Amino acid sequence: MSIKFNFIILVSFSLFIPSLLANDSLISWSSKELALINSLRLNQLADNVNIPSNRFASNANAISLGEKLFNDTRLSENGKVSCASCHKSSYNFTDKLAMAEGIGKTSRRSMPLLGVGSQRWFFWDGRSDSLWSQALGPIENPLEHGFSRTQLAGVIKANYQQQYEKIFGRLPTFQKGVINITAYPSTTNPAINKAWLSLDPKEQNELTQVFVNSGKAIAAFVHTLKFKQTLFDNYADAIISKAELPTPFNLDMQYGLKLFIGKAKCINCHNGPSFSNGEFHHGGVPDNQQIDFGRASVVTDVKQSEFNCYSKWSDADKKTQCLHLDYLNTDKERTQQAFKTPSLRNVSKRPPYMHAGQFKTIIEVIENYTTQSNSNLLTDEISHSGLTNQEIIQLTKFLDALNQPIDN
Amino acid sequence: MRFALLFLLLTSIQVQAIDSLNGQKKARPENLNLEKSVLSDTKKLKVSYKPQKTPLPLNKIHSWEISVIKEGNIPISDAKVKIYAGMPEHLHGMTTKAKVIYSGSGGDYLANGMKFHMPGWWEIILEISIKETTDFAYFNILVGEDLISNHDGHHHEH
Repeated sequence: MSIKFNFIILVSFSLFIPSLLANDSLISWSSKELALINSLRLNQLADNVNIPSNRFASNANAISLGEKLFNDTRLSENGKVSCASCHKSSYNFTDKLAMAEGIGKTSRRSMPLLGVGSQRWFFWDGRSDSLWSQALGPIENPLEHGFSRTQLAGVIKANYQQQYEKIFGRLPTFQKGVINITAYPSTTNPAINKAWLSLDPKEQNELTQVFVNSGKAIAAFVHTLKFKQTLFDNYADAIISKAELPTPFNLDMQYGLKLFIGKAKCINCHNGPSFSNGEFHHGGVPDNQQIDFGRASVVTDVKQSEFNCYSKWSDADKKTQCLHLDYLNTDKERTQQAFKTPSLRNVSKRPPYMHAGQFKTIIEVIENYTTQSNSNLLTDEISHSGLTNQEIIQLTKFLDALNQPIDN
Repeated sequence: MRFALLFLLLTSIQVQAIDSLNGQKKARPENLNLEKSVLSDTKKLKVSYKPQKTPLPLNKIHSWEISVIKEGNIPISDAKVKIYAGMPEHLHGMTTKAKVIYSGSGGDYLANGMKFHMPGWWEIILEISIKETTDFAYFNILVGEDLISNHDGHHHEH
């Protein structure tokens, strides 16, 4: 081999090596940063479904029934609305609308369902404390399914009796006609409430039991919609285990991660493997036509709600497994206009953003945070001022690395 | 500043209280005292804590064991103990209301309902009332900054 050829190889290598090393040598991580990165890894998320309030959460027959109910438009007033209408499997189990539309138009955005099973509170304001009780809410909401537990019992009896009984035991024989009326305990519709009160308490109990069981089946299905490994998780796994670094997690993403867990303070709220602390914060977003008080409007009610962890419908041990209610801080002042921290996994693939779809792009969301100051101390935590345009771009590149492969 | 934070916590974090403390956030000192056993304000009590989960979990309700003893290593069994936790850099507390109960033996108490929903520096304040006198003890903790981590993603209690 000639000297000249060797020289060419040497030059080629010397040009090539820095670009190879760019992925692993320019970013160094302190032990604190490594701890924070470790806490965000998907493998820190418990994989087993152990939901004390729903003993059917991992029951295969319940999962199968739940999937059918999730997609069944017969569970609506006009026969056109199912859970899947707003929670589209092709769009991270949410939709593209700023505010959800069922029978009517609601005032909040549909929440994405991937990975939702690991959350503690459900809905933007956390008015439900279990996935199964959350699933029941929209069914009797006049703006969503506009349906009722009486009518739902009719659909189960006509279409799912065998499958239902395999899981939950005998389906009650309802009084003739009851499955054709719209009746449930309602504080907003006197006619529906009156129809409910006219029913025999035993029948009310049986109808509600079928309703609850259906919610538990739907929840069992939704629990199967899990997060998947992303470019970020591959990178984090590699640096924690000191393995070879995957190249697709590029330098911009690495700088974005450094900002996310440091200067930009995103990790304050978007922490843990779901990239959400599951708590409620004032995001400083503009009101959408009317003030929505969010968490503050429900935080004192959740301890009394019909289907909470304390209720007779919950399978949890009330003394040891409802700690989130036992110790709940019900102070309304600190939760004014506060909404649940959303997960950031797959976030860049499911605009629009915020509780009423106020922002169309991730950049708009970050700019909202960078322009918010401490003018309202309830928004104090979301102040991310001082980011350069380049840093904002790096943050968005990092968020892109939280997208999982499209196969769901 | 500690008293300001304590005042904030004791007044249930009213908006007015927060406004009155605007601009009084504390930056994290470089060398925080992370001792798990400290003397009280009056130096008359030795107060210690031990979390039931280590490292301190993020986003998970858990309990702390609290020990209160006085000079001569004498356990205090008749104290009324309250616990507050706040983030001096953020001026907010926990999303739970922790309750302290007497464990039934020695100077040992149990703080139930502790939950830290953000990583970083938290200041813990123990208000210890014995008969007519009230004393305070302060601890600093760092949440989420220890690489040895438990699986903490699932928020359901088991």
